[in-house]
Amino acid sequence: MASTDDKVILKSSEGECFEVDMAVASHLQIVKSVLEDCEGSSDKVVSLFIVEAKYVAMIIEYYKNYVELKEKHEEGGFEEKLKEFEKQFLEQIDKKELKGLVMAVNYLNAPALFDVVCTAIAKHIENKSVEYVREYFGIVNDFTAEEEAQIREEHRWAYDGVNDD
Amino acid sequence: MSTFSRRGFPKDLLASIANCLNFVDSLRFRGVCKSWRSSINRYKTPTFPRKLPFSISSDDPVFPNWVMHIGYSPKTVSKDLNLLDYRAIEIATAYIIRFNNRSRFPPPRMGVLVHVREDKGDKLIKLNIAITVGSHVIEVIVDGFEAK
Repeated sequence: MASTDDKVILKSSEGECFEVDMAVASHLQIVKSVLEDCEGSSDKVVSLFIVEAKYVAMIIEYYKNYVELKEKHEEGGFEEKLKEFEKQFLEQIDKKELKGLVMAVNYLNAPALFDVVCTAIAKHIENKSVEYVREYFGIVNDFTAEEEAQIREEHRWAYDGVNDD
Repeated sequence: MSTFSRRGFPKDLLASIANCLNFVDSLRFRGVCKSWRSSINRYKTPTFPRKLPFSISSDDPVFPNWVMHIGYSPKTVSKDLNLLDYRAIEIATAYIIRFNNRSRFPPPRMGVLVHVREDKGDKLIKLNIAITVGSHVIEVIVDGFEAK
């Protein structure tokens, strides 16, 4: 039987609890440092106050596979297998969720997944119009009309041929 | 405490995402808002060596070591190749660039030859690139390649 010492409980903003192996949770820098601060305490619950359960589940899924693949392919081939998994992983996540996920991953300070999600978002907004990007991220256009016209004029060609959606 | 879904998108994260953008997109998205404009460098610093974004074969008898011709095309622009990613070592003007039949684009009338080279391990590969003169951005036409 696995020792309970190797487990930690992550609590989402809704109060949902996820029991996770330490090997998985230690990839989240924030969890790692919280546990280090409370060393010796029997309480192994870490509250992630602002992360919703669906993102906690995604992040756990990613690092669970990350840890498993790393163990299984210790002798090589880990990176290719991880890439394959990352592709499947991203296919399940809708574009709006990517935004929530990147914020959650940034908060939890999980570098490997952070790079994956940033790249996925960049890929999603590839060839999209400036207007689409503003809407996607909820950014308010803070340029004046003159400034914007000037900016567009600078690289007019870069604005041609973008996708409509 | 509110969750992420109800908060605005943090601006420092935009910079991390902007770092993953390709050159043309990063130029355009400097026009999204002020913070994004200041978080994306005007030009990414070219790093070297770089791999070409597509594979190239050599079957051009006239210019065997030409990697590509880049010709003017008013409707389409290249989003595949950023010349700033390559280090130019020699520039010469050429009028009438030879047209490659494989290309979908009309022949350019005037151009500039840019010689660039790329270090690949201990082997030096010489690339020649031709771009057209003009205010518009240019189309990439892959032509031939020779590594010596």
